[in-house]
Amino acid sequence: MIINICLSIAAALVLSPLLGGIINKTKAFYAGRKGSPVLQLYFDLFKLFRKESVISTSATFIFQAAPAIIFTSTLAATIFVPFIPGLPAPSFTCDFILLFYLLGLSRFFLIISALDTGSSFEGMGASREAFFSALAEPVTFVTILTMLRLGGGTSIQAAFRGLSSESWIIIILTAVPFFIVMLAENARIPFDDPNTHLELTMIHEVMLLDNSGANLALMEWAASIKLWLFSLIIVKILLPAEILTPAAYTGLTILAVPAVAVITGTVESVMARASLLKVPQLLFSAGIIAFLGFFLSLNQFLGW
Amino acid sequence: MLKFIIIYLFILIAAGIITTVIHKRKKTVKFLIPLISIAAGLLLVYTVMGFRSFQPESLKTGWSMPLADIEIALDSLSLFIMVPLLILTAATSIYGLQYFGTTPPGRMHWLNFSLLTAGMIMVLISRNVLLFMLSWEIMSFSSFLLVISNAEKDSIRRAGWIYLISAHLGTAFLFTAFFLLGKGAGYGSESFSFSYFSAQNLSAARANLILIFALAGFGLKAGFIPFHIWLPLAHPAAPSHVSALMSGIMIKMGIYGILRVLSFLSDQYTTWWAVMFITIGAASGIIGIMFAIGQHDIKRLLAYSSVENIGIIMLGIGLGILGVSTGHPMISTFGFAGALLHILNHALFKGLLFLGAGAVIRQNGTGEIDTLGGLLKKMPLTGTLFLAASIAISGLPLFNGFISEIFIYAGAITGVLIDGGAVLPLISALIVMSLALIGGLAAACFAKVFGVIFQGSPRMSRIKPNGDVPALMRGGMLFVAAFLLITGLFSFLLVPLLEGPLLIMTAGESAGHMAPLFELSKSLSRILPFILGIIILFTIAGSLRRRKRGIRPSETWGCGYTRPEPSMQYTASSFTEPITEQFSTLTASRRKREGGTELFPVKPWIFSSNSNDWFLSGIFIRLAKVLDKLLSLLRWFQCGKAGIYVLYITAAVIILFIWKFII
Repeated sequence: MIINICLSIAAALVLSPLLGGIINKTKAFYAGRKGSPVLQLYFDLFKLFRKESVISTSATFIFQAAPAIIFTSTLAATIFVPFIPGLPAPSFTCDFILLFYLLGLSRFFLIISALDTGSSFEGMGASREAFFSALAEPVTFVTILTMLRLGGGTSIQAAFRGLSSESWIIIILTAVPFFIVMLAENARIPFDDPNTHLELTMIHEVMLLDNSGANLALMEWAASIKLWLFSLIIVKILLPAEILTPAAYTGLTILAVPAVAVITGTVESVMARASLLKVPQLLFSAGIIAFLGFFLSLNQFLGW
Repeated sequence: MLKFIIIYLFILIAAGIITTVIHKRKKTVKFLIPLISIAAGLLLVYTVMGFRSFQPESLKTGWSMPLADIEIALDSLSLFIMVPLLILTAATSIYGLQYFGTTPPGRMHWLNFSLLTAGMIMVLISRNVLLFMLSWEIMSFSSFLLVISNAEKDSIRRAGWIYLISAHLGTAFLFTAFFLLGKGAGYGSESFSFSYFSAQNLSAARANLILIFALAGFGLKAGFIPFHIWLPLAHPAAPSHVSALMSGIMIKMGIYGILRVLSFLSDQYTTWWAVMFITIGAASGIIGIMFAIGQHDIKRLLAYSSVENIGIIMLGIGLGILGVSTGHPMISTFGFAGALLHILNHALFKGLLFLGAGAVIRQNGTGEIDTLGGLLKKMPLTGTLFLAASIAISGLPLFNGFISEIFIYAGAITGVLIDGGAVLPLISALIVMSLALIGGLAAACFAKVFGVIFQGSPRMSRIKPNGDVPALMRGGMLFVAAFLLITGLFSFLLVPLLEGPLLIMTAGESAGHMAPLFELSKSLSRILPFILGIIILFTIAGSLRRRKRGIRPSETWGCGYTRPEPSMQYTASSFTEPITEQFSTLTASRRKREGGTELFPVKPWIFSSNSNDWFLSGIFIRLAKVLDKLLSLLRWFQCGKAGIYVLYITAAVIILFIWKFII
């Protein structure tokens, strides 16, 4: 189990910054630009780690400790989604609750570290993050519940076994809302624009405004690990683990996770950002789709 | 164990009476109150150590009261609820000693305090209706007197008044429920004995009726929606250590009562009961936290958050009933385990939050969230402990709130997976969704509270914080906080305590199903301390690195604006505006703006937003007015002349005489 945990963590640490690069490259492709290198985020992180930290005078120890806490708890959440199948993974009843609540813990610290500087911009971002994530949480859980019903188990590992040819419609009704939640949780268009330059409209980026140097690097890295985690979950829901050999499965995963990034980039290129007032509606709709999927998963067992 | 509890009752009452008699001699008071606390601590240690080998005990002697015996007993359910009660008593009494500072509390304060604690202990051990109701009234009345300790203020008198009315409305419902329970036994002390209640076989219709009356009666104490009306009024009015005790454990006496009545009916659980509990739970949880988000006063906010947490407990109980009624003991084990553990957990973190709020109010003279700010620098210990309790109450991992919530989740998810019928999975999925929504909103709510009160810079220059609180108050808070962390990290230590109460609640069905509970808590206890360890290591490494390389302090970035003012900071109202706006139909939040309409105002505008609790004005007061109108038709009866009253009495005696001997 230790090996698998180490592999999950290592994969998340090393590969996650790649996704942001791929999304940006995809967006550049649609815009007809050359775009920044795929490895840009690695360069950024490397540079940031060597820079000095400027810390606001009104900030407290929470502001200084938060990046480490956010980074660690996000990273800890990845151990429940094994990268390589076949090896024993840490799994127990409701492990996915721990997974998402660890992300919740990191979000809580993100919010209070944003409030720590007393900046109104950061307060604004924190307020939106708190609200939207509270709405996104039930949607996430319904999608996972549907997958658990299909896979027949209480651990998230069961959710990765749920795919079968009869259940394709349920899988679609689950994967789509999960993808929407992924966009919301990771501050992508249509929920948040990572490239916007106006603080008033930002959500995630604005919460990091006062971070610099290694602190900022940890925050950015944690954000990309979160994106990696959500993409990995989508991929594992959609890949048929039973049919493939472990090697083929791993290979496909390595190909499919960047594919999720490409899809995200495409969504970002073809869509405009929704106005903030529309965001709750978007999440409610995702919730309704997810609940429909759950409902169908009930019917299937009733024998329709 | 029972005899130690009785000794403790005597210590409490004696200490209370002595402090009243000699309340001028501060030194003696300073000695007596810690005595209550230390004795509670010793009893707590004894209780927890003896829990494993605990055998139910009972004691029965005659009493000169008609229809009653002095019948007391201790079973594992009572003992389990005794644990948070003792923890909070120990913490709040030493905290309260310094809370008042230079102006000592009234003569009766400590007597009422000890009577409140004693009343609650007696509620837990009485097994006879009259004794139970007597203890219940002692508890209600002493807490009423504590609520109105500052009775000069109008708002406090009103709060006390509403609390007193709802407490007695509850008593009326309870008597009805108990009469229905004892109806089969005929006249005699047996008809009021709990042991008779649990032994008899009731018809389904009577059981339904009993449950509804018990829910209304105990609900008025527990404070779930729509019976929560007194909480947001009474909790802010009381001194903070009393609020901690009231919100932490006294409202749980309502839940204890419901659990006790359920244990009488444990062979009658039906699915619609479960649906009722779950509906109440989800409604209290969601509406409670929505109201909490809209509050501006910290103690009012905490009171609404108690409504939310009672909702979570009700969800757990509902799930437990659902498991029993559909024949799935694993679901009921998880459900009741979550509910019971949440009783303990909520007592701890809500107690700590109220103590923290009290510290803030004591040092700043106000509990208005939007006027405070940056207190973490002035009150580092209070702030840190408040943060821990905020994380715990949001149900986030590493602290105790997470454990009870994951138990309820586990029960619900087990329910989701069961085939053969859509009802069970659907209800279970709704529980999961409401818990997730409640959790998310609670996190938003407490991020707001912590962020606005303790972070940023002070928002109003007129408020001058006085540094952190004195040692005993810190000690009280630290004592509770230690339990938050222990319960959160090593939950497997607590699961054995749940075994006995679970057997009572599920009528023995949980017997073979404790293993999943143990397994889950062991997995969590294996993984959570590890995560905490890494977090601590990482944080230390970060601070070492900062120390080595140095940091450059600078002002918060103001987007190029050069003259930032503390009043420009985000406030609690602005933080929660998106949420209150979105759900304004539910919370009836109103905004008011006074001032001009011009783009560049010369005179300041006044803006305020408020969440109005429409349950009190919309339901209860309206109902009371209708009742008042109807009953006023009978008012001629009360003419105020003594002669007529004597005539009434004579007439009543004659009618009874005729009824008994002639008809």
